[in-house]
Amino acid sequence: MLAKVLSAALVGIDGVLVEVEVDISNGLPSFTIVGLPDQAVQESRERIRSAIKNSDFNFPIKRITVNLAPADIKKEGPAFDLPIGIGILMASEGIKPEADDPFLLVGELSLDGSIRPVNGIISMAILAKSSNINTLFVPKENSSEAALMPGINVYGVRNLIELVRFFNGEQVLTPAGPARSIRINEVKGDFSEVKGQEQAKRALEIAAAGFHNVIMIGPPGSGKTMLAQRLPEILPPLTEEEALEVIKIYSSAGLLPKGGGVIEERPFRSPHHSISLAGMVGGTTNPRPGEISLAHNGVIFLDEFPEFRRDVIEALRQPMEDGTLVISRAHGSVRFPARFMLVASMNPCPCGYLGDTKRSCTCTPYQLERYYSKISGPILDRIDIQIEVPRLETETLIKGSSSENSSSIKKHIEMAREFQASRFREGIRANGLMKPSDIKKYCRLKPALQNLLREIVDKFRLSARSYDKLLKVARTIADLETSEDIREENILEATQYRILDRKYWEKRFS
Amino acid sequence: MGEEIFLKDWIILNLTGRCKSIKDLFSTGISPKEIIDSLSLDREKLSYLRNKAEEEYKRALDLGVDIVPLSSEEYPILLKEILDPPPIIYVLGEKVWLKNAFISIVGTRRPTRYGIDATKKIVHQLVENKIGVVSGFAYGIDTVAHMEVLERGGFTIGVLGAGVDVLYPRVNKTLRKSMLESKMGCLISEFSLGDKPEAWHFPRRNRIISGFTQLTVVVEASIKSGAMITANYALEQGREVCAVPGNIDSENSQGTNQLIKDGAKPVTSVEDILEELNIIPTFTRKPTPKLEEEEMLIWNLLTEPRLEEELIELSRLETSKFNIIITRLELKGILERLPGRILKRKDE
Repeated sequence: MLAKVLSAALVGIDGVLVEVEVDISNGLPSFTIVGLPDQAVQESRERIRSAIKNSDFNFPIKRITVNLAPADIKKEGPAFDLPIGIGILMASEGIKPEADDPFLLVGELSLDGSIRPVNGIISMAILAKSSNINTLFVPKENSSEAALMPGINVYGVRNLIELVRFFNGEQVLTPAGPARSIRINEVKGDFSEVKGQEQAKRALEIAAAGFHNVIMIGPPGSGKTMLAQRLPEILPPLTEEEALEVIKIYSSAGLLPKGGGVIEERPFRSPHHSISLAGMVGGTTNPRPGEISLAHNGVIFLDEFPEFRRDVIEALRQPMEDGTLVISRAHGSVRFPARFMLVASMNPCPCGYLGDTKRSCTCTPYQLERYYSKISGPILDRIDIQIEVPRLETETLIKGSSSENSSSIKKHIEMAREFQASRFREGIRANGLMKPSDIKKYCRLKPALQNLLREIVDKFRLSARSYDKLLKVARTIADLETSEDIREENILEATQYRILDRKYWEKRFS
Repeated sequence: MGEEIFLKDWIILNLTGRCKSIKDLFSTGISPKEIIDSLSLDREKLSYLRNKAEEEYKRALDLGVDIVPLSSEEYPILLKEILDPPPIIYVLGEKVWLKNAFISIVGTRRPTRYGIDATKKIVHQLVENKIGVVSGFAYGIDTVAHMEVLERGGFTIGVLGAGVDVLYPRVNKTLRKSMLESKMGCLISEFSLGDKPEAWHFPRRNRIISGFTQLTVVVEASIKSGAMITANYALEQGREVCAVPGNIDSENSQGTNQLIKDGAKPVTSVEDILEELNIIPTFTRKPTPKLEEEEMLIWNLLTEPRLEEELIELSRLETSKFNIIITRLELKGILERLPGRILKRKDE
């Protein structure tokens, strides 16, 4: 007897259709799985045998051959337990799913026949939808995650018996409903808790509104980390499309909490500076999403930026440009989305006191040169907003007037995002993601303002590349005011957020 | 040909390193050859020095380095007067500047903001009064002084603790380049071409810095520092020493405050320095530009350098508005930005 069921494998973060063929024939009893199974799949033989037995079915004492097709993709993990088990039962017990529709099965079996959750369910659901498979059987705990994909019937199954009964028409299963929303970020507090640093707050508001990359430079203890950690609170919620992308990544990385759920907030990742290249961009032999992919559609905060390994910093370049990352391994290449907003912070110098009014900096110029050379031109090129965050006197901190809270800032930002969305229609998602050709198209200036911008570039001796950056940031400031045109004031304000370009920074000692 | 031999004799004298005896013998009016004879060097040593001088001379020609001997008209007059002037000085760059009016500015290699600002302020007004600046080309105050001179279009001399063809400190590559390319300065040294910056060179070259000018200004210095050595040389050489007073808590001001206590003139404005040199200062003060109401508000708050944060607080302006105004003020060229988000009025 031959039986065929459909299942899915995870390659990177995408699902790939796998046909599970089970053949039972007479001969010496054996149980073989072919089609590039890994160790976990090989071990599934024992789980399946016990699960079937403990569910009061007969495990056939015959020659069983299982093929996972296509045979050239590596199959990993325990998600094939369920399809293989069902395949065996179909071939031996004559269980016949009544539906003529094709269906897709995934799940790990426990020895007692219950079904355990697996990773990457949303990718399977997306695969099912795109392959016109309308029915999806998944572990109960994964069902609400899969149900996020509209237009397919998702059945959450608790154990093997339940599924067999459903196939036999002895039990009714109701399709799973959409998931509850879940949080992926730790709540660190409100913006209004940060006293003073109005300049930095304003800059972060603009950055969040336009999805601009930011670098903050300031001495230790000035509040850079505190400010960055509060960013998730003011970021606009994910759009549906974006949410699906994020869930897909988190699901395949196994980072969704039990039971799954909808992610509405933008991810905020802050890896430590000792992170390896593979940890940052994703990798190892079986590619897993790295920090920059986990930060997709959200923020990656790199504290003590120059302390990161140089190759790790440089690896950010390509994804910052393309929004995706391709990892090539011997088995083929995997594409991970990685469209993130970079928020970096650094001290003004290794000792931290450069530019301090009270203490002198003890770094040698050579140390400074080395420190700054860690952040190469191409990286700086991709950072639109550069601000200084000075250390404030305790006096200022105490008497500092209370400022806007996160939810009110978030409202402005949402408005600005909507305004951008109506301008771009589709394609570009925010000002910070504009390419030079888009800037030409969307940031037209009146002749008088062109002259002003030129004057600014001359006067402040800004580099040529700052011209575009200034325009982008000015565009976002205009969006925060929901103004169709970039106004003079917008350009003047934007100028204050390009501190690293300024001449005095180049000659740090004079 | 005679000139060449003459110069080579001077190089030999320089290589002996016995500046004081050479100066004494020179003042009796004898030729370098005769000075060599009077030093009674042993023959082996003399022939070694002669070979070395030969090489040195060729090298100087190749590199375009001028050799100015003590006997030359071009030799700085004030430097001639000290007890132990170098028998020759190597000059890279425009040697015409050697004869101009200078003051020396020295200070710590690790200045505070205050030291940097004070240096710039002094240099700025010296340049306006057509006075050049001599300093040691080290980092810190020296570099600030040299850079500011060039920025303001003045002339400057760097006295090196290594051969003039040796780049030290390495980070001053651009400064060196702009000094030479602008033709507004030169680098001088008593050390042979290719000489490394040995630690003992620096105290020694300090006597040239102070000896070069009538007056030495110490901007920021801790008690034990090269700048204090220079100040001591200046006093030994009978020159004036001025010091910029500083915060009594700051280690960088302990040296300068000590100097003031010992009788050095405190510098509170550049007039103090010029007075010492009997120069009547000339100032071109730009009229305050026309300002809008809100610009005036910020301008009036800037009686001293202030943190932007403080200005926002005091002016009660919105952050975005504030940023717009300061860009306007910066465009008008009357506002200066210091690292650490500090703003100050630009010196006129």
